[in-house]
Amino acid sequence: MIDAFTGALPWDAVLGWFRVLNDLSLVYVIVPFFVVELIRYAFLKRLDLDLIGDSVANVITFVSFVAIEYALGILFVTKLYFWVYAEFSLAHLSLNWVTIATCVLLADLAYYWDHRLMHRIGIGWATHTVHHSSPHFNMSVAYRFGPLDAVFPLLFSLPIVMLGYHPILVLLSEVFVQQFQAILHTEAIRKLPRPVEFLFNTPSHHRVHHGSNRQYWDRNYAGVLIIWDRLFGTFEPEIEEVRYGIDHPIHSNNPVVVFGHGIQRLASKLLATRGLRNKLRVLVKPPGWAADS
Amino acid sequence: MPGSTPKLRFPAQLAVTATIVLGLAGAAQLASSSHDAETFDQAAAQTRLAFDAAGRGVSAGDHVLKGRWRVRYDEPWFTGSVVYDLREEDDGIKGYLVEIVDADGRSFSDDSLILEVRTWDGTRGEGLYSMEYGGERYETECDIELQPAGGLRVRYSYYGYLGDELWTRLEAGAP
Repeated sequence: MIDAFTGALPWDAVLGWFRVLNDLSLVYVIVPFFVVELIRYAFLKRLDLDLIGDSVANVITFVSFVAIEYALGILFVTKLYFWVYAEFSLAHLSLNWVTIATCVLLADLAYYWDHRLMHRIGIGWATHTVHHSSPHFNMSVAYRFGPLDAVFPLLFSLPIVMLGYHPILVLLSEVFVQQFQAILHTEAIRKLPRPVEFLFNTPSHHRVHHGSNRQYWDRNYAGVLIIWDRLFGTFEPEIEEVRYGIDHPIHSNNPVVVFGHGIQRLASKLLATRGLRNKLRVLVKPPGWAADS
Repeated sequence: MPGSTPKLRFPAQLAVTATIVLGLAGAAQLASSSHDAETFDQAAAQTRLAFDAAGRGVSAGDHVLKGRWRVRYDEPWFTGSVVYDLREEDDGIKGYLVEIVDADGRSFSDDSLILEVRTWDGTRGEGLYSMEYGGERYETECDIELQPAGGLRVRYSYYGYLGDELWTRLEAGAP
């Protein structure tokens, strides 16, 4: 029985499973579901130019994000992962069901803390605000990324590599968590059965995360398991109807404005802040922090 | 706030996180080490059987490394096995890649130089290891060591990628 979980698995099979779950889910879940959402918008008479412009901007930010991620990956991230794996890692783990399951759980826990950090420090919010700046909530918003969104996860995934997990497995697990979270960006599903809502992140929980209602700020950071939020006191159920977006809306579907507004706002704030120590605080203090507050 | 969960203090949150991480990683290390030990024992036993049963692993006077060795790879970029032939030449021991068998059982012949042994003290030494990735050939220094339980361990590092291979000797005349 134990051998079934600890027996070695072939890499080509594992890569195949993750390809179905990670890469191909765009084809068999995300795109078809987005079409359903568009039909739903039309039925509800909410399909307008603003929503279409917003969706197009989302796709363009995704392309920009992927270009930056590939450039970083080719330049140094991949080498960094393998260097850490070679020089600073515990005993290298073999590939079996236990290592895959624990790696996905660790990637999910890392996602929680990475996500929370991006909400709670100025430099993190400067990039992550892009994802939250849409006043809509659909599958395309899941792919609305900021310019530095690929950088912060490094801080949390490298320790997983140091625990002995193969860098490729860590990357695959991170993408799995991200893809799971992507399918939660919908208004079409209200609530799932209670055990599911208790254990897992769901569209309802994630709508709360995107809410600009005051009680929904900085809540429900989870990727796959909502139990991290329940455990660390950041859970909030969906009760009041959610108003999507950020407290200072950008009122634009220009992809350049969407992609760069967070960095531009942070730069303006840095310029307006006096003193080097205060400027550094702007980067690491919560986004609402100001020197005179 | 309705439905809000009681909040742990921040240091307690970090302590809980560290405990979860240690638990998960510890389980993975346990599951992995028990399996690795089993795999290594099997490989070593196979090598010993190949020596003992056939009694023709290495002839007297031959270099201990001379002969054919098989390596199994289970990496994201290649799954299968490779047979290397270590030959004694005028300028030392050299290893040639003679056969690649992929995960589907397809076999490919080759004769490219893959290893040059530069120093050897009877049980361990150093050499130059050559590898192919993405159509390009790369060379890196390597450590080689005969294992007490059987087999030859070849280790190398290339731009952070750590190669750690256990070569098992093939019987003379084995496919």
